[in-house]
Amino acid sequence: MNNITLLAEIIVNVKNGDDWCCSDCFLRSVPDKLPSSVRTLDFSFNYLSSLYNTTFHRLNELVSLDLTRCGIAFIYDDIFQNQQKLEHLILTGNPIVFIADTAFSALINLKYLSMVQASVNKLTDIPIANLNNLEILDLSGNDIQSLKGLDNFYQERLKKLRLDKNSIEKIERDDLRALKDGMDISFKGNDIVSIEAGAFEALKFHSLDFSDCFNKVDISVILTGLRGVTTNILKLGVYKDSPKTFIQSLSLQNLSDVTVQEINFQLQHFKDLKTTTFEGLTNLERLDFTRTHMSFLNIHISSLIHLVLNENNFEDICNISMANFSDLTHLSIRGNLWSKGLTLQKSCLASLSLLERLDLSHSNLKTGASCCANQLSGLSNLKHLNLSYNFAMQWDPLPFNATPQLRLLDCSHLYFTLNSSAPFQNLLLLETLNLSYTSVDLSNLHLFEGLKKLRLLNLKGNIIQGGTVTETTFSAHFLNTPLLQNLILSACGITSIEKKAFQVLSQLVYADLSENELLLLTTSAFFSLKQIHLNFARNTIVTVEVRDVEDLGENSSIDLSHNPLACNCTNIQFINWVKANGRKMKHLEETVCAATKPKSIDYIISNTATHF
Amino acid sequence: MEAYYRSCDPLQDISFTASPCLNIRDENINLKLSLMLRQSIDELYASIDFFLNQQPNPVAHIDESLCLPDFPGFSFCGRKKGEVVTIERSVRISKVATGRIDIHIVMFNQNGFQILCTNATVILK
Repeated sequence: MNNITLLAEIIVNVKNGDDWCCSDCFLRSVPDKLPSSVRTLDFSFNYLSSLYNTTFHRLNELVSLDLTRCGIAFIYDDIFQNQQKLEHLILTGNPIVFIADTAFSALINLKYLSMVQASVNKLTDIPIANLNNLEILDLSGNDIQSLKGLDNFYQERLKKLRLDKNSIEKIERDDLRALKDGMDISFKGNDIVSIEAGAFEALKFHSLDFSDCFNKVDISVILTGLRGVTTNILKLGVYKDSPKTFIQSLSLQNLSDVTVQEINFQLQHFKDLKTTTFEGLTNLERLDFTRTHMSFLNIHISSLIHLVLNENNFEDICNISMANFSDLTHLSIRGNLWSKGLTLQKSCLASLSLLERLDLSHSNLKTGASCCANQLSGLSNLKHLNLSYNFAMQWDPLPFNATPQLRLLDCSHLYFTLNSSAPFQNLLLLETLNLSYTSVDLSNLHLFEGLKKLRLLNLKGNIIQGGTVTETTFSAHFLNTPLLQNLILSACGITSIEKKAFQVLSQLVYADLSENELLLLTTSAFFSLKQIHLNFARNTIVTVEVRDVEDLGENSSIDLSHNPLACNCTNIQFINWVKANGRKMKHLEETVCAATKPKSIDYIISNTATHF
Repeated sequence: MEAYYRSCDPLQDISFTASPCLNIRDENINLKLSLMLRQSIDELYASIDFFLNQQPNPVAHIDESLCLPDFPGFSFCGRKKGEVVTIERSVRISKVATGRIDIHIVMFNQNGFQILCTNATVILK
């Protein structure tokens, strides 16, 4: 055994019982110290030029084996003859020159095989015959030029076949005849030249990925080839590093011969979309037009329920003909790129009476003199609304008057001016409210009026005047939100918490007071410590009174990491408590003594005798 | 023009080529960066700082989501551990530009694992 291997044997580490990791250890063989009971072995980034039937001979309990980038060139007969339990085999990045026909013959339970970037030239080179339980086969990044041999892939259980980034130019009818219904197949990044007429006729897939396949042909060639196919998902997009492609309406003619529920066109350029372009798609439910360089949209798809228009160039939401999507339940116009802002006028969304989720975040929304009662009118079924990261807005007295069904409202990083003291009072069903970084005035005692069903309130980054969470103010707030379970008050500049500030919150299970300036831990402010997770990380707490933690229940925890805790006699009772209750301390390894950095408190605990 | 780069990741080296020669100005230069993945990149986030003429504070800072679960923006999104990723870009450098630009790039994946860290310096004379 050479020195390198010896060193590697030392750094091989047990992760979890029979899970072993010896990645990147300069190994040239399976270490003798590895027990035969190993079930999961990460052997990636080592060196094994050839695999013989003796290489893993001893490891007959293997379930998962990762041989990524091991320089494997030769794979000989029956290399896994003793590994019949193997379910997961990764051969990514090996320069395979030869695989014996019987190499995998014992792998009757194999479910996942990755031969990504493994120098595979032909599908017929893969000894798939006995892999009767194979579910996922990933052959991306090889140099496969033809689908000849795909008819050998008749495995009953095969669900997913990835052929991304190969050199496949032609798809012929005979290649596909053995494929069973419901599979996911990806041809992403192949330079397709032709698909034989009728090749996909009557075939049924879960998903078909032809994204980034348009370097040599127009999309119409792909769509003509797909005539007669049925698939839940069809990906026809490109990527930022692909050549630009332009789609004409005429090229999409044959889409109507495809039965599809969801299409993704991300990053495509459409030249002349017409109202009728997608009309033949009577089953289409979801359409993704992320970053398709659109400034207006007027297409008609009556069956559509889910429309994604993120990262486009709309100047005004009225430039999207919403009346053509009357059944829409989900609409996302996130990250609109029009630099002057996205105008949201009165009633532009009014026809979407079934809409349940609306995302208008990161879009520089321009809402005019007041928002949002008129702008959201008609959205009586809206349940989730995301307005975060937008331009400042002036709110109506009841900004969400038109959307009384809201369950979730995200206004993070949104500067709004109130026109009433109780803007949410009609949101009787609201469960989640994110007002982080909004500079909202927390001295307004009516702010949370009406939020009787609120479960989560995020107030992160709103500075509390005077630094004190006072009993009078916050009890008044929380009397309005009796069901609150999660409260986030981190980064609020809090220096102290009055004794009964959170007492009215009897359902509270998580309180985040991290990133404040608290000197003292005050747990008496809470209704009960029986079942609660308290986050006091990143404050300035030096000493912890043991009475503040000793009532923490069995299912409770506290995070005091990144506080300048004193590891001396002033904290001896607390340290003793941690000794007995370590599992109640979150991020114990990052809970360090200010005076003895970087020693963590659990180090101090194990060396208490030296320090006290 | 001179260009230097150095990986600042303890595990991960990168390779970089420019073609044609970097001395050509006002014409397209193809830059190619390759790296091998130590973890998958179902999500990938980049953070880039630009420093001008060795000033301590960056003159520009870019945070960019390259790969998101619902928007895999680049063809390499979703690649797995052990795969080699190559990013090609064409740039044109103006004849009149002069000075020294230091660029610090870090990229993280969905687990907060550092996929790439590199410091590059471009000196335009």
